[in-house]
Amino acid sequence: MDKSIRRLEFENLWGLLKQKREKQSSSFYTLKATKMRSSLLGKLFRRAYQKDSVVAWRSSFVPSEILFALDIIPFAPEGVIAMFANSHLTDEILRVAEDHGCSRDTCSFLRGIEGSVINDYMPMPDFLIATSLYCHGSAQVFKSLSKKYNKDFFYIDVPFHYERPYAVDYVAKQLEDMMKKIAEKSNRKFDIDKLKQAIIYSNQASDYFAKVNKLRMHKPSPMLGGEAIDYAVMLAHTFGIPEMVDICKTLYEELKERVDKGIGAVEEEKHRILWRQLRPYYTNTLFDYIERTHKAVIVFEEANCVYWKEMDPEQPFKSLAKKLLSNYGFGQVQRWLDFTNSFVIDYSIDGVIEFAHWGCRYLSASTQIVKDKILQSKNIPILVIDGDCIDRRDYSDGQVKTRIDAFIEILNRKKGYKK
Amino acid sequence: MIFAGIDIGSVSSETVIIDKNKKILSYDVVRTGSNSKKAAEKSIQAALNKANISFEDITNLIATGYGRKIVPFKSEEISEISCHARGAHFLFPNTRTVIDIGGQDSKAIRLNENGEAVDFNMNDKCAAGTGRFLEEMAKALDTSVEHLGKLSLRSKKSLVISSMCTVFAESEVVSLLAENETREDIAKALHNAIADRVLSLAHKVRLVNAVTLTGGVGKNIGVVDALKSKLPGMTINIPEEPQIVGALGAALIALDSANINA
Amino acid sequence: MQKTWVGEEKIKTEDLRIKIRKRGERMSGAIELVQNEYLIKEFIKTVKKRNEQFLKNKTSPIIGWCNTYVPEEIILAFGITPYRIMGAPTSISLSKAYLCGNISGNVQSLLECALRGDYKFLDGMIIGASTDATKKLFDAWLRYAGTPFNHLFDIPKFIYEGVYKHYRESINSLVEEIEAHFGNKITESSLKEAILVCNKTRVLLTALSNLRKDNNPPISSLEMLEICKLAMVSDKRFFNNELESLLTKIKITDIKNSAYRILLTGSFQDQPWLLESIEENNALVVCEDLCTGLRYYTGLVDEDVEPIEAITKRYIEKKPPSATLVSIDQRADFIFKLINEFKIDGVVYHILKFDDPYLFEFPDMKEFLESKFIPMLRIETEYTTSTMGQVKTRLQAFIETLKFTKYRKIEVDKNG
Repeated sequence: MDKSIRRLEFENLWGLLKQKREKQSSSFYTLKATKMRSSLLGKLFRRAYQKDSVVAWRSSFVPSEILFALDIIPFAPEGVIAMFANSHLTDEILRVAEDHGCSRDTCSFLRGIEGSVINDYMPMPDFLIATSLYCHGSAQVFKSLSKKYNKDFFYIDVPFHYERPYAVDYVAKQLEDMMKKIAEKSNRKFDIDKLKQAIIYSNQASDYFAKVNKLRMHKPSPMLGGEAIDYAVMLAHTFGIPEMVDICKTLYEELKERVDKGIGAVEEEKHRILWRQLRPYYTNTLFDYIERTHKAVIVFEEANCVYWKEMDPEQPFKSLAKKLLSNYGFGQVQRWLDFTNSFVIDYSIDGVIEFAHWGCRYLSASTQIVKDKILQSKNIPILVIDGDCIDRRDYSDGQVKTRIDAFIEILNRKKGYKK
Repeated sequence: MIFAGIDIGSVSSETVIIDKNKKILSYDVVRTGSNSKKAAEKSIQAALNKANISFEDITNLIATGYGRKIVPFKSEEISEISCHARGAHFLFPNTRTVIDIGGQDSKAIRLNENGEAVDFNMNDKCAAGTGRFLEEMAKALDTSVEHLGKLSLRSKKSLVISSMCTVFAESEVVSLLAENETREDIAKALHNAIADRVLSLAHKVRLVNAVTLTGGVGKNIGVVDALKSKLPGMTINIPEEPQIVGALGAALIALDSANINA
Repeated sequence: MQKTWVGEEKIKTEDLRIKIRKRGERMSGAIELVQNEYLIKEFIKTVKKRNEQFLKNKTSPIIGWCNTYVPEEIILAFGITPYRIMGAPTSISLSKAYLCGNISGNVQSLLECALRGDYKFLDGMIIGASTDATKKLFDAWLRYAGTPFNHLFDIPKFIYEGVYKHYRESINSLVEEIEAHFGNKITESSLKEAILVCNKTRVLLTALSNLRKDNNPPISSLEMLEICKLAMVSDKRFFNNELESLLTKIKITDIKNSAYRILLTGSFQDQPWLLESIEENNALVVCEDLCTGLRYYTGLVDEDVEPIEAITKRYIEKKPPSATLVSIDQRADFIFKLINEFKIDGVVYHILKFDDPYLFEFPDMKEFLESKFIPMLRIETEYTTSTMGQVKTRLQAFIETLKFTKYRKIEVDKNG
């Protein structure tokens, strides 16, 4: 298959976008950094459709630094499906996937990817890369698609027992071998200095982002959760380029200004909420309702945590391996519990809201343990909203708002607010 | 001073009117039908007539339930969670868990010692575990829901029916009948299935003694019996009129908030 | 005495007893088949009795395990009895409070049974982390199930260069933890002995299973299921002796059986009702690509190589591999081989609700089987449901359509 098919794929998609495009983002998200972020993601997205780009499909957590160092465009199908959902394009895509045999009980991100591939909306990949992090479904789907496209599939096996002595070298070697093979196959130069530079950029960006996270501990919180949560997608995808450093720096400066002036994201912040998992991508009214109507600001999202230590550019592969192994959502849940505990304390959390994505066994199964072991003893209530991030067919605005109302009433009573 | 609470559910709407001493002056239950606004107006009027008072006499009115936002004459709206908790705790001060099984939804609420809701879990997506489940099953067995409950108490043999999905369960009933199982045994299995479904909601909020049942299905002896057998050693309170507990709670909250303002 | 079976007509006999079975209505005119059934019943009874006695007066600690990629040899080499935990088809209420509701039914039932106290006799539990659901099961099990020793055995995915290293490291981790907790140690000779014992079980079970390649299998799928399940919970040495003796006595007949031959594949299934539902309809399940079937006992450990390496190799390379380990390209060819060896007329692909590896594999498997003109039926069940009218209807309809395709297959075979 030659890559000029990408033009056709883009035209397919553009045709669909023109029919159904509906701007979905809230008018309250006014930070300059957010605009820069959209612009960067848009740029990478368009470049993935160009005939002469070398495109690597990556699942979450595949280190983009390696790809940028090889001048390869990383393409995150899961993130793109979220973008489709934001534009209400997913009804058709999901239906196509289900006709093909994908069950409605599987994760809709992956169903969306299958459907998009059948309808030829996705840019043809040159490589597909997945890790063992989080769910196996994404690796399974990528492998299956690699056969369809007849392209190489790379799998980075990150062992569950991350603390074992062999783990770092084991993962580092896989990353290095992968980079060498990709370089060879795509006729790119395997330039270790470029990788070191990418790691330096990555460090600078994550340093600013960690500072941003610290600013959000401030009372009142300077940033709306609804705006912040979409940084999580970027966080996984674009480390390693200078543009990312600019975005994180701008975000930091904007928030610092707000904190210095005592400006909060909403006037009269009443409650501080910790958000778990992702969000329904086809609606923004949920966050507006929680934050602006009920004044319950989402001060932090677990997905935005900078959990890794600064990487050593002189040991690029080992550092990237260590970053993968230190992902707290992976491995035994105790690490995650410790992180959640620290979030609850550092951000002065009043309540936790989790949007439990249907089809995600991995993230949803720990909720009861978090409730039992952390939140119960601190008397912090948690609301679990069962829903689907991508598939809006079962979403009921009224039902979700009822739950939120009841939850806010619980929080109000705890604080002794009237009503 | 008169206070009222109105609970607009997807199947039925209830109004409760109380005086300042928390005595119930009157209550009414109507089917919601397709027009929630009309149902609200009908319900409040019927309750006012029964109490022989007029609308202007009401000091404070709180609306709750699925249709609470469109009730035109409310002072305020409160979620059904808080209302059910308040109502159940008022009737039975030992209540620490409320299990509400309505026509089209079910919920479990855990209360603290002050009778305030601290955790809850709702099922409003799926008919299994709601009154609708029993209605469909009663149809499949060619009888009424009340009679279904009575049948279940006469069961001799233990069968198992899926508690995950109403549609699945219905075809299981048909097959069991074809295999010559008795209606009594099938009825018992159905009541166990609805009890299991509801209890899995309750376990998620860590159900604690004592339990109060609310909602229309609380009148069903088959369900009560099944729940009792699955919660040995626990006290299960059944209000005389389990359907009005939400509206009663709303009326009580109306009284509370008026007193705060006074 | 040569008797032939012709369609559904009764067999004319003279002085042979005819036994009409309730399920499948297979008619046999040979004493041998009746005797087989009796011998198998006796075998099962003997082994079960022995197991009960063992549980009463435990002569060794017992460690539970729950995935066929967990190396039993390691457990055995410590002098500990491995005992497969399979859950039970009861109603789920407690486990939903600790795991989310949309997780595979057999994983839920494992936790449910543990919470109910069914596994108090276990001294330890090894959870083979084959899927995301089992990884989460471990977190809940560790905190709520009350087993004194708990270990998550990490199972790699996909066959690639590093997979052997990963598996070996998992074994090392397991060995270290068992040593630390139980105080026992393993030696090269205890490992080799364990390998011999486990291999013998595999050889015997494979021999038993291969008897079903015969046109009129002398052992039914329900009997095979029960024997396989017993193999996973019994004292292996005793089991091996008994099974060896049974195998010498089983007789094959040359009675023709025209029932359709079915291969059952997919998610975990250890309850007889699905097999019964299939066999009600003039069909026989002759081969199971399940972890209560071929995935448990095919593939031997090489007895001449360093034990840990040999064990690693066997578990990674055993066929048919489970969809939790490999993708369709590594499974499809072996399944096709089975279809030819066992002369399969149709495949029943059974998925447990929410069981991701098979939900994701299904579209590819469907494409593959369609390309080879092999009829397939997809059914989805919940682990805890007992009667499934809908499933039975589909199975009946599917098997009725096989009469049109059986002949097509012969055409394909004829033309190569």
